[in-house]
Amino acid sequence: MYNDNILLQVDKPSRYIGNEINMVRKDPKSVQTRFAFAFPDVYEVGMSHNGLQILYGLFNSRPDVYCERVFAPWTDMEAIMRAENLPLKTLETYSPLGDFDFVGFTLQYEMTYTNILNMMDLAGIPIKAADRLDSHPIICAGGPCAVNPEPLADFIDFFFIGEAEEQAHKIFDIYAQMKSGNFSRRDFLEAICVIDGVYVPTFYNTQYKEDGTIADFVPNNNVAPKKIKKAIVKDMDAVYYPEKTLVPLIEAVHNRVALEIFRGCIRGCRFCQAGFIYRPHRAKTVETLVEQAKNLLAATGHDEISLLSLATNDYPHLEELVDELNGCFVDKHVSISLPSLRIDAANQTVLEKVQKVRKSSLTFAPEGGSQRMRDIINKNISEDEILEGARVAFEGGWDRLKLYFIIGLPHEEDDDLTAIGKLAADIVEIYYALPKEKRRRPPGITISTSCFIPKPFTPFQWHSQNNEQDFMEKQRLVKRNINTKRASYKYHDADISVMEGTLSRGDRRVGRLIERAWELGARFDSWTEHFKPKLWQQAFADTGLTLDFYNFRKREYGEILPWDFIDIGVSKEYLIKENENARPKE
Amino acid sequence: MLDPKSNYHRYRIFYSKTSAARFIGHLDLQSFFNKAFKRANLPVAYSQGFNPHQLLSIAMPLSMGMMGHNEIVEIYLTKQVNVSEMIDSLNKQMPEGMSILDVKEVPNIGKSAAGLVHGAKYRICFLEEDAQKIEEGAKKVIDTADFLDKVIDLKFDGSRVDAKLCAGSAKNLKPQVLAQYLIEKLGLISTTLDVRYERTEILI
Ligand code: SF4
Repeated sequence: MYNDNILLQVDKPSRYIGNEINMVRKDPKSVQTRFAFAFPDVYEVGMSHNGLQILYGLFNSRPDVYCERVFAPWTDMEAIMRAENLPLKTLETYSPLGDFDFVGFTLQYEMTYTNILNMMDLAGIPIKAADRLDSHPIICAGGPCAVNPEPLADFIDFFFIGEAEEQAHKIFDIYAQMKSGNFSRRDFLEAICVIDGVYVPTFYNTQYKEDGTIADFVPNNNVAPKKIKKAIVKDMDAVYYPEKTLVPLIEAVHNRVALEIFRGCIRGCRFCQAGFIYRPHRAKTVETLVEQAKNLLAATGHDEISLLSLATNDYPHLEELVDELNGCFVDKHVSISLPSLRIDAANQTVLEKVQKVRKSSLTFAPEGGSQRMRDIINKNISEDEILEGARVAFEGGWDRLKLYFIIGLPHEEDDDLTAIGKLAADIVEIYYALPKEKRRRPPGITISTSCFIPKPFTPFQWHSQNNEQDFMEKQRLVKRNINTKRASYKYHDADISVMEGTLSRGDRRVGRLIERAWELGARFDSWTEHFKPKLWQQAFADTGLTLDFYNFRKREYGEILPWDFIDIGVSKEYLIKENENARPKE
Repeated sequence: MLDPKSNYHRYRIFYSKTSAARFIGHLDLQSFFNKAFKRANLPVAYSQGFNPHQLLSIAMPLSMGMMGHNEIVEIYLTKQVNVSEMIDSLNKQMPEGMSILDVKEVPNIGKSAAGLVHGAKYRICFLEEDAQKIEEGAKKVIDTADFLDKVIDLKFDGSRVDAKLCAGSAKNLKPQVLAQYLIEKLGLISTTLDVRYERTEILI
């Protein structure tokens, strides 16, 4: 543990202590492989992440592996660590990261990339793969952003693309075999690079054309496959799910049992990366879920179960599941939450059943303000359905609604933006049409807009992104057209979204940009209070890269995209067809 | 209307909070206990109303980083339970640094432990280099302190002070105030960051 003088000086010392309920304790000397699971954001954020809980449990279920955790130290702690020359350590055994066989970063959002470099640096590990020796840990990374690994290619020894639950065992098995013999890092990487989902960037070369686009991306090692196939788990009922999860001793962003009810999404909204990269749609049975819920509640003592999925409505047995869970837990002061439930008349009964225990505010994500825009993005929901959903929610006693929209979408016109305020006003009107005794207080509508970021493996991956000024103008236009006092307006920072755009669709050269921004002091870029646009502007200037090339340019179908070598399970032809289908009819 | 608590059973739980557990703050401690009681499968009683919460109360907040050797939390249960079984099952739910020392069933009416607190005992340790100054001068300077009426008893032993201080809503003195006073008046080498505090007992 860090000494008291340090812990008493920093905000929330529990971030650096561990000792949580259900923390796994092993003797590091008794295992063959030590794995440090690294979450490149602050403790409370990382600990709320379900993927961490799953992989932590899975890795530690192997007697030959000890998986520990490490998070990005907050800036107050970093200052002390640098001043006193303290290395970054794990929470389980307070071991420096340099002692581990693997350090594995989870890539949940692009704006954590500078934190990854910072964590390696704080641990005294060279940030570039090429500068590391066999005595350094092997640095790996996985998670949704790994579908375009190229911006981090210089820093990571291997990526894992897709779902790791099954393939992880193969990797650990090979490592154990090789560790008992005498092997080099290269031998190991060659041995694993044929496993589904594994990508070893150093085995590939990229050539560029004069205009900056990719001329050629080919393996330089004859064992390396040409295409990397995303790994998927086939049977969701058989796949590992933890029986107990870590319970932090300080308040995390989420304090609840997370039940993953299915993976993938059947919808195919054209802007949505999750909808494409997590395919196919695979659900767990009610039986499995009830069993998992019982175990997890008993092991954690949480008072909330959250049913996680991309679109809860699409779970085929939702009502049955909620009934079963209610039956087991209602007298135990446990509430059920459905964070991604779309409200409509069809699930009115489900709503009522959930509501028995506790009410939270409800969320609608029409994404597009006008029907025209919702058709463009393939959000299959009509204005009537939205209004009907609002009525159902109001009838059920919810009077706080959150509405999510995206601005800057392809083919967008001013009318699509002004429609947002109009929709909010219509929803307020629905409220006042209710009989008086059903209205406890004036309704509250929160409108949030995010900025469109074209993402790899979506039909919109070829589109240009708006610049910061465009986004801000659109935000003002939306705001001017919200004419009801009952609605408030929140919007995402345009400058962060533009940077995220560069990192999302970047190629290998963007690694230099990330490195330079980090050198200049960029940290916690997803946090509004820490994001420093000037540093990134400087980094662009210093590296000669431009937003025009990465963000604002329209890409041609024929262009080799940096992530084309990954087989995500959806063909490029299909994405092209979908992009064409999005064109508004004249 | 009858107080629903009259149907419940009240238990006073004595516990220690040391080493890594010292850094659990007061609010977090409350939600820690909420979950620990649930994991231990105790028949916890809840408040009535729109947002029911466990009928649980921590007798006295403990400062971040301070060790507590004999802290108190009270909980209402809907059924009577075997006290030694309760101690065992709760101890299985404690993280490193916390253990349940004792549990007593107490009458379910009357003031809560928080309402009964009137004092607390602390052990305050300064740097060893300060032993001489403290032995020679502490008694004298304390006699003129304006918080003297809140000091119940003091024992000096080298660089260590065992203090029994008033606590609770009527009169309250924090050990940090006493330490700060000694540092200033005696010109100690210790700074506020060097002083270590332990609460050895809560007086109810
Ligand atoms: S936006 Fe939601 S419903 Fe649409 S594809 Fe993405 S996850 Fe599915």
